[in-house]
Amino acid sequence: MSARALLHPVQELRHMLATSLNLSPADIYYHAIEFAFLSLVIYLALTRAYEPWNRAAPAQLTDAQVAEKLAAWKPAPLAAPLSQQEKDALPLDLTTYHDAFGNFRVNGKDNVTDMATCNFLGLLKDPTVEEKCLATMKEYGCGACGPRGFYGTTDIHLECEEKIAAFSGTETAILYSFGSATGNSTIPAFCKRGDLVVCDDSLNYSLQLGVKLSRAEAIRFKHNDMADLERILKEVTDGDVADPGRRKIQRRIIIVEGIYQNVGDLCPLDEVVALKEKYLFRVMLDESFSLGVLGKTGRGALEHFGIKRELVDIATADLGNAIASVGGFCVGSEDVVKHQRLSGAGYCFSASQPPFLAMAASVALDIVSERGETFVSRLRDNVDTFRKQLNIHSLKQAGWYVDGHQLSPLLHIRAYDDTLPLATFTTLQKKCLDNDVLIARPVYAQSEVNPPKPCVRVTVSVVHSERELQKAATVIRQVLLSSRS
Amino acid sequence: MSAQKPTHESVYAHLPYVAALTTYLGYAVLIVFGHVRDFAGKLFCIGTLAHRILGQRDGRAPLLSDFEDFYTRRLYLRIQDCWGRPIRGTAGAWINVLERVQERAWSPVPERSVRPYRTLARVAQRSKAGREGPTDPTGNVTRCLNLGSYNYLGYAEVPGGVHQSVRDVLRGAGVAACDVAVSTGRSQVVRELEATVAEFLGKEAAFVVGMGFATNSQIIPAIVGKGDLILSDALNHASIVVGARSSGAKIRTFEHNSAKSLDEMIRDAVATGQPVTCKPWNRILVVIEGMYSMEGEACKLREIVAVKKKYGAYLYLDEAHSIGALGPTGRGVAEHHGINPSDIDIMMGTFTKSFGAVGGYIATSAALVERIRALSAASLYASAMAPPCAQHILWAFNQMAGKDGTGIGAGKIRALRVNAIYFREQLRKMGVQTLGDWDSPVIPIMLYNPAKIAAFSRECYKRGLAVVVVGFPATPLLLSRARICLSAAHTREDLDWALGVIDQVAEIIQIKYDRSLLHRVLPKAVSRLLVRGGDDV
Repeated sequence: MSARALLHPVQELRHMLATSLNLSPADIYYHAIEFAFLSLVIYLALTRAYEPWNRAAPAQLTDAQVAEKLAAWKPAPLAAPLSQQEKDALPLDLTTYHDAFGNFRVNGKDNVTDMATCNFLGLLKDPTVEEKCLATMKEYGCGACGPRGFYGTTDIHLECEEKIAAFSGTETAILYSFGSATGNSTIPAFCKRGDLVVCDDSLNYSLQLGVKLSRAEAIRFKHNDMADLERILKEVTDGDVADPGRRKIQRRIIIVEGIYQNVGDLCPLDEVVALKEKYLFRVMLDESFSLGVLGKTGRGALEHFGIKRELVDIATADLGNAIASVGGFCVGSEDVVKHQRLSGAGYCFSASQPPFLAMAASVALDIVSERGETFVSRLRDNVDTFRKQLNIHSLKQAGWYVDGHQLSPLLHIRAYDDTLPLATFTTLQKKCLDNDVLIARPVYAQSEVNPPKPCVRVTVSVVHSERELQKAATVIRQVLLSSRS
Repeated sequence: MSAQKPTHESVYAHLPYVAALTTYLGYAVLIVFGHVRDFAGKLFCIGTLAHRILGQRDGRAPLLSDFEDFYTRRLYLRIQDCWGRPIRGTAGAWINVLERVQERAWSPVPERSVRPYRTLARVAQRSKAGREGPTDPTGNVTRCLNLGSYNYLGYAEVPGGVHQSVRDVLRGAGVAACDVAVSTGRSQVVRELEATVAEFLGKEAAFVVGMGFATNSQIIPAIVGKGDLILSDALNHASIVVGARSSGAKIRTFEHNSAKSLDEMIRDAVATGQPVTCKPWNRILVVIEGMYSMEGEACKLREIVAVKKKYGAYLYLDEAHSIGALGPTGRGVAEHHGINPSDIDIMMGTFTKSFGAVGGYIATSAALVERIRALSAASLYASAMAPPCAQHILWAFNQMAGKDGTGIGAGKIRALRVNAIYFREQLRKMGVQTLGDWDSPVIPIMLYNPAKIAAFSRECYKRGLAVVVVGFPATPLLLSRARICLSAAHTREDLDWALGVIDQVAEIIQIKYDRSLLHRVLPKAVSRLLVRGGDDV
């Protein structure tokens, strides 16, 4: 049949309608379209709305089925008892007590040598700090009773922020009330979903958590392996060719630590900075353990490597180590600091730091600015003495090695033998304590991305006299050699 | 009495239409003007945007972008003088507020100009010379009545700054601890504090953390994990949200303070099991706060405990604001509602508010405390609490429990309750809209319009009253409010004076929404004549 013959009934119908409704044939098209629209409106009005969230709901259970499920549900206990492995990982349960005459008592033992706390510069019991803190307490009480936004800011806090800024060589600084809430507030303030974080795989837990909370894409490079870092940066930048718009909106940050808390070695910051400039990344540096330790005058990793402050975009630090207070800070450009005053969760939603602790930090920074050079050289001497006394080579034969850079006051003693039971390390701590030396036994969470190997940690400080260092080194060496792994 | 007034289900119920409309309009104008200014800024490369544009020439993505930055620059910065006012001295009943270089920041200003006006050296000099009187005509300090700090029991201001024992601890143990608690042991004073907290709350054991925020954010992940469900109140604090997110458990929110909604959610969760796999949930943890600080409302603990018992869920109660502030002996919301502490699985609280120090605690079963000590980030990685703070809290606990042999602690708890009831009743008579329970020491006053946020704060400050105002994003867009926190340290004269100031300011900025229309539209004298038997405000 020809096409014309097919159309014939349509033509017929059109003609019929036109004559019966008294319309011109051309009008019929208009009315047909109108009619189609009308039908569509009626159809949409009558069909169910598209609600995927409703559709996803499972088939309704009957009441009897629900009751059955409720009866059958047996929740697990809230506190499962610790497994044997978790118990083994625990350090000794210690009670420490300092009296006003310099006696350090641990579990009832007097005059213990403290090789555990991170009081690198001996500022914890500094008389100037104490006097200033007592004076501050007299006028400001113990706490500030509110977040920084709501009358929790005192002039002491502002002064401390100015001191930190001056010390770090930035315009402004922001003070957090707790060290372990600093890094994980700063990272989510700047990285969001869709952003990119490239971080060292031995990063401390606080920063790891910050990366997780930010929901940004995280890529890890091998610890201190610059070739691996460059490979990653190159891959990312090469990906931009396919998607050139991405570079303009994706924030990219490299996160490193000055001295790694879990390993005790230095980050090659000069190389990291060179790479970040080459591949147009930003860098965030955590100076919790390098502040007061690295650099000629104790200003941290930047001074050590001779890098300009502007090249490190964000720097954070815990005030709880060399500075001997409680708190943390972040420095950077004014934008970086100001943004956190509204977006740093640990800043906005937390009570402010007690004024006397801010005062302790201010005074400590003053002391470091004044006498930093003496402190740092003394600390290095002590670390050298201790390392020599410990005789690391002789430990190697017994199956132990020491993790950590020569300049680092943190010495992690680990075993070559990975099968060593965890309880061994607690025994090491106990044996040292029996000989009046307190060393630390860090425990790592199982949720760490790259859990460090078990260890005991020795901390060297400027307060240690040569005799103490000698005694401690001897005790620790004896203990290690007698418990051959 | 406002006690008979039923607590409304939704805070929107009392929102006047005109206020809602003008609030939307206010934000619309602010946003439109903001965009116009941004456009002009980009066009001519001037203003706050300029250095940011210049800074972005290197090819990196801007560090700050999106709406958050826009909101900060174009909305928050206009009224940033209402927040972060620096004070000098204790946050007691009266505070010294330092004037800043640019007190009225109508337009965005660099951070430098919101610093205190006087150089810090001069401040230090003055502070040695002694305390100033109520007003300081020579300097730039305003003596203000403090209705903003969380100083519920007045422990922020103790005669002599702190108790002698605190000074002794500082001399002995030093300012801080310089390390993580677990790897080097706990100091004796922290141990004593843990025992005291556990005994005070009637729990087996307690664990103390150096920061309140970190207590929630670092311990929740040690309690629940994958395969567990967290049912969180819709208005829970940011620290709980952070903790829940980092735990890896599935999170669902139920309607604020609604036992009914909670019941349905648990029932539903148990019936359907975990998503995709449909396996039954390992555990269900209900997380609520004892007192919601933005709402001034205690949780409906009795109903919630009934629900959680019915299904066998666990309850995590955050008493950041209620410990010390509620209950006849200050033992928190459980005592307030007459609930046995054993019905609450995990009790958490902070020492920042009622105790005037810093830090937080978890009080629960001995087994769980052992677990938290062995596994939580707060125990493994965080600094230990500063020993002087621990001693201050310990001393406050002893006083509250009457162990010092005086009735000072009990008197403080009573004074707070009397102040709270009196103040709210007077506010109600005044005709401003308040939220929350009739006896809660936190009293939000509804402001609604964005312009009134700044106006209320500035007008009060001008008259010597320090108040806290809150707007979006801390509250829903429409429900901006001022928040009054009462303290046991306030005297009746303080409160009457404050009420006088609030009355004046409320009249000026027209927030007496609960008064009749006539009262609001006509002058006071005329309306009083017309409306006989109405409130004699």
